[in-house]
Amino acid sequence: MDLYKHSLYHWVENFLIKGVFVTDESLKVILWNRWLEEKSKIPAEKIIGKNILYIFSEINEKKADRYFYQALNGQAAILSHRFHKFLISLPPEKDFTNYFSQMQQTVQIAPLISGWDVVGTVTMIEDVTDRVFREMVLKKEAEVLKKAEEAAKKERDLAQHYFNIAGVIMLILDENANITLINRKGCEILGYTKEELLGKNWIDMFIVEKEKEEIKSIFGNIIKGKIEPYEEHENLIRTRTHGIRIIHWHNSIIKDDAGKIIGVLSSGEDVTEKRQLEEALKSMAITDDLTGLYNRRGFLTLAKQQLKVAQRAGDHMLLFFFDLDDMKWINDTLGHQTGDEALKQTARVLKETYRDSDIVSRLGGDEFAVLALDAKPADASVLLERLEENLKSCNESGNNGFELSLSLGFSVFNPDEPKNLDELIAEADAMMYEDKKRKKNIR
Amino acid sequence: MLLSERQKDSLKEVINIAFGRAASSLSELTGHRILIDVPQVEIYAIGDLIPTLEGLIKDEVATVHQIFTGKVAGDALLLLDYKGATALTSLLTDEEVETIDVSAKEVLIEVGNILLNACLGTFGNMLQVHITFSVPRFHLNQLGDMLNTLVIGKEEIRYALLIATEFKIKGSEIGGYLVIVLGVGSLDRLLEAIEKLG
Repeated sequence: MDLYKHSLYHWVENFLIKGVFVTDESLKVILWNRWLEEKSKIPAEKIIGKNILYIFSEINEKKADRYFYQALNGQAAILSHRFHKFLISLPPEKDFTNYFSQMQQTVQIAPLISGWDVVGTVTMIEDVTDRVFREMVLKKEAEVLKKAEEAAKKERDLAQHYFNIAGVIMLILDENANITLINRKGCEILGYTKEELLGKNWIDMFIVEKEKEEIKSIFGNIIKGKIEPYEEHENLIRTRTHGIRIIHWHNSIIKDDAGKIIGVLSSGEDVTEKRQLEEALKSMAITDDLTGLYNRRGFLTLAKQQLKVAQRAGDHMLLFFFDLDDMKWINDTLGHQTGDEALKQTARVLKETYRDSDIVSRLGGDEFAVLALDAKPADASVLLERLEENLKSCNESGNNGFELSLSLGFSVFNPDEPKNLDELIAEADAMMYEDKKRKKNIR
Repeated sequence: MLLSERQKDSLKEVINIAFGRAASSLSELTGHRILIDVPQVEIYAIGDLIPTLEGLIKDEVATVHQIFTGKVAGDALLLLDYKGATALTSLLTDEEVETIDVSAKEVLIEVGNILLNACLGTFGNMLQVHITFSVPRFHLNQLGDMLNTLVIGKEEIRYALLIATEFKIKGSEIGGYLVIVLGVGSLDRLLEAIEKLG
């Protein structure tokens, strides 16, 4: 037993990696272990026999002396680092001198007991500087992380907000074309709640029957990465509450971190009304988009009006009919763009040939018609000569790979024997047909 | 159940004095005004204590445990549920504490130590016996496991003094329990001393 006591005492004194000092009833030091000798640079022989409260005045200053009196009264105490920082002033390990001027300590002060009696105090000092430092770093990191998270959340909320208040459908489809996200506007147009839509297959539910198969295969190829999605396209969708709508889509693919395509993000504008309006406007137009001449509707309307005017005024008029030769050949051989160019040049030549007040028009395809106002039958040859010249100079100046050539016919409006527009057209058309036949025979 | 109303009142008064001392120690330590209430005192046979406490604290419990020895011997415990333990640490340290790490543990040990010392010290004075206390220890485990360690292997019939406390700090209230487990002889002496006070 003595041996055990002796060796325990020896171990605490020499090897324990905590500070231990023992005092007697009058708080005079009777043990000062090696750890304390090393940390405090005070050798045991210099401190033994002296009162601990006199050697370390900071104990009194920190009002920690009461813990020693409590211990003498039988009460053990623990002094946490959080509230006390340290009991006696010791330098920190050199790694921490930049952060702490004192070694941070957690301390236990307990009565030293012999039988039933308290005969002194035992104090154990633990160096917690390293731990406190690590907790400090951790806390700081956690703060930074929290701030970053808050910022990210704010951004997410903002994005969510925009997503929801957007005036267009915003939609994310996964790789199977199932809806994973849809905004308020989308729900509104489709006529379903968000809960009804999430997880449902977009193509099955909304694409009109005749386009289903085609869109399924296109979508599959987009997900496989075989084709890029159209950045923009329009299609028809069948909604619950608004019938069939025309939607103009902008698409982009979504990839995961590894670069695998996992879905498509689309924003879609309901252009149904816009397209309907465009159609309506088109049907009211009297000019031809390509050439700027009057179109068939414009020609018929204006020509009918002029016929009445001419009849009342007793004026003659000439109605010319033209057909651009070899239009099919130009289109097939040189392409539609060149075909369009040929039509535009023809329009220019006709404009040059006739007066501004004459009604020059493209009836459709390669057919043109001109109503020359206040023109006598004798003027026809003059006008056709001028046309021939203009065509020639156009062909000479141009480097088109084709030659402009027109088959033509004309009819005369005589106010004394007025014919209606249909009769005049039929007459001019018949003559033009003859002209064309003649040209073919020559060739 | 073992106490008469009169005994209970006297005991409450004694504990109030003890808690007053503990509260002022804690206030001095933390710089916050702290009040500790004594709303409830009861004595249970230790077999009945476990079901009673299990009804009050669910799941994990943080325990500061101090053994006291001398002519009167037993165990003194401060019990807080996990949420209460972190909340109390947060209020005392002015830091947001979400988990009980080593530092939080030390804070709770010191708080428990102050409370238990105050209580036991007052009883010791009343009984006029000298009691010595061990250095407090901290446990974090299931309540049942914790309490069973007190019962197993103890031959003497033991009683537990259960004190429900409430810490009032900065407008918050955090509930906890103080349990003092005594042998039957010690209990008799305690009750006798209380009678004399009454």
